Amino acid sequence: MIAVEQAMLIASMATLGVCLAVSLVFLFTRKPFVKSVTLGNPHPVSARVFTTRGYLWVALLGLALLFVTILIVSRAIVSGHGPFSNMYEFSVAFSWGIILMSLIFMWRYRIALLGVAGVVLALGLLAFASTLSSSVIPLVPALQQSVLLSVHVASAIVAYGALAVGFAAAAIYLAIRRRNVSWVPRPETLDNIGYRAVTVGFPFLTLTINLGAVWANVAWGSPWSWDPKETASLVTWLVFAAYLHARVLRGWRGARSATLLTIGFLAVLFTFFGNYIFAGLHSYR
Amino acid sequence: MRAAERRRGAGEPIFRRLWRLLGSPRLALILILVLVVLGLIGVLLIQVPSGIASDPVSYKVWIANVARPRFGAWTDILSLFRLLDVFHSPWFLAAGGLLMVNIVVCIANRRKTIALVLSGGTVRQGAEFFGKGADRLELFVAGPTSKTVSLVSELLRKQRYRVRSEESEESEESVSLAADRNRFSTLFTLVAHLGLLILVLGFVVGSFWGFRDNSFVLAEGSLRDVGHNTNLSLELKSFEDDYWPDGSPKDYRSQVVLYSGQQEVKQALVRVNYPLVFQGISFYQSGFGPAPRIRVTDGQTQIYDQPIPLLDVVQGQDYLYRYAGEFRLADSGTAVQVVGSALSGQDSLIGEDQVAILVQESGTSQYATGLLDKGAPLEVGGLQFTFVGQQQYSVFQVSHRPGIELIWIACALFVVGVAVVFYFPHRQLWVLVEPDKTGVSRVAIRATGRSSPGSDELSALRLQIEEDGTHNQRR
Repeated sequence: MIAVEQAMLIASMATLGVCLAVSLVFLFTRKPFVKSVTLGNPHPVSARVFTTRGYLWVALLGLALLFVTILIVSRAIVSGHGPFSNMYEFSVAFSWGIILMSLIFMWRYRIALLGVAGVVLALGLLAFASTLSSSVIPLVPALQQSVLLSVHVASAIVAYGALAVGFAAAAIYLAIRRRNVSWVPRPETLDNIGYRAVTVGFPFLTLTINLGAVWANVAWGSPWSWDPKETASLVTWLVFAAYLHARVLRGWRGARSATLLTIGFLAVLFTFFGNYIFAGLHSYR
Repeated sequence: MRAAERRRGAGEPIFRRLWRLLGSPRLALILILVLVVLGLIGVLLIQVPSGIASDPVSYKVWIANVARPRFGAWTDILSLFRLLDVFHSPWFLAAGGLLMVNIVVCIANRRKTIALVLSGGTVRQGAEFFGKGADRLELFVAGPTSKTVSLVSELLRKQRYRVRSEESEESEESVSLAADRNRFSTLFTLVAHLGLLILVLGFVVGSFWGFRDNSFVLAEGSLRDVGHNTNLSLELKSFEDDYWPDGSPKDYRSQVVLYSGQQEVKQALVRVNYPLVFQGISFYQSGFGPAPRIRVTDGQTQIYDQPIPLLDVVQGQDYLYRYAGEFRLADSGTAVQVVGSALSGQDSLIGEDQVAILVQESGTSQYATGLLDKGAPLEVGGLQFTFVGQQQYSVFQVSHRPGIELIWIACALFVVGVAVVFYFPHRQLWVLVEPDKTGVSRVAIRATGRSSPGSDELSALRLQIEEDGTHNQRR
């Protein structure tokens, strides 16, 4: 099983690397993954569909997702619990969430660039994971509450994955807004996707924090103790709450809301890697 | 428009102006960002532990031992502005409190909007309405308007829209439709914000009427009053700990008995994640350590016989870390320090079955030391000390949190509210169907709603209308 796990880590990184290389080659040779077609009669509407090479690329990304899934499952069989005991497991799970969410958003909005951004982020996380010790460490007593903990972490992964996609859309928006680049989607579309990604991720972020409170009350005797990781996740939540209110109530669009979204994702990364920065109850490595 | 707002503000009575300020989204944004900044400070600067902040003496000790080595000259400024206890600082409480007021005012202000959303508003919109906005489309469908109207309504109903229609006063041929979906989602914005208010209320109730004791230490075989006007006392019968092969703790558990007055009320095995709860008061397992049992005799009379929890860690001149504890003899006031074997590594001074003691008579600076072997009495400073045996102590967190039920109700409202708002977004469509050239009707559609999914949905709708239109024609 440990051999399977090692093989899957290498396989998923290799697949993501191929995905990235292929997308770069097609980018420079101007071979699109998505093309516009017109549908409808007598008043045609244009629709975007994947080209054959686009479909193949999506399939390759799907294969990477499969490898990471096998990696997580085989590890769960060995360790007997979900991916929540150290940074190696979190990083692998986080990259799984990012690949899943970027696949979903890429499929839904037919924007290949979102998938490419997801590949970059996921590859970065897996590379980080590969530098960490992957040995199965036994659980300290507070972590021996698998159901609550699995749901808490699973919900965090979905939230972080969706927010990563939102960040990708915002970052692309900020990079291209002053330029006229033919092969990237319209800025308004990116702005809209950023918002949609946050609306998917935010409820899960809320759920994560609330489940964390339920579990903290069981394990540490208090639903909230201003532990640095707790506080960092609250800060993240507040930044996205600010983003949503700014957008919905104050009509923020474009560069301002994209900047806020980027800050929000930096807060996600800060919370995620916070174990290295601050001590506290979540101080596993 | 801003200038107009300001002018309007100038003539308003002060109360109305204040109300508008308190309910403004801009204030909400500013307050959230203030909380973000304070939260970051709380994460990045080490914060004073909750038990220490309320006690001036231990606060001073904490500042000297923990804060000053880190922050140096900045310590006093940080402490003055309460940034080392930022979550109990006036800034945090003011920003959080004001945000709650802001939410209440916003909820109060939203009554009319919500009523409008639930009723669906006016059905008929003017021609210029359909010419504005980003989310709109215009199309032409073969067939009379009546047929087109039923086609469009049916399509929308299939997509879970509520459809209301109204004919124009001038001509029966021109029909307006108003369609909306997930209108109850608007109520869940209230549910989520209400959840947030109740959540904060729950925490406030808990911090005012509850108590929390983070280090309730009990050595094996001893009994201690819980205090805080509870009339409860807890006895630790025995303590056990297991370890993983790598030395990290696997499980630790305390067999305890709880008394109310003299009456035994509960026996329990307390473990991490499995607290003992009695009448809203919870006992959580939080830590443990060694507690060597020391017996002291003065001539023939036994004057002390108790396990001493070694709560401190001291570093010796040989750089080894050892657990240490202290007790005082009631009659003479003599203080006795007890030091155990090293935490890790070979200890050449104090062996596994030994403890070192340092005996200091009250009011003097003279002291005597001795190394006690297990079971062997030794005379130190005129008294006879015996290391009876190694026992353990267990640390509990004792907390009483009235309002915890409120917190759970609030969490549920909050999570459900947020989920419904974003996963079932409210959406409104207005449609105007009027006759165009002979046999053709013109359909104008405009969508509004917070999370308009761009032109995707409208394009799909257009395709469907056209498809169904041609289908009907063929039939």
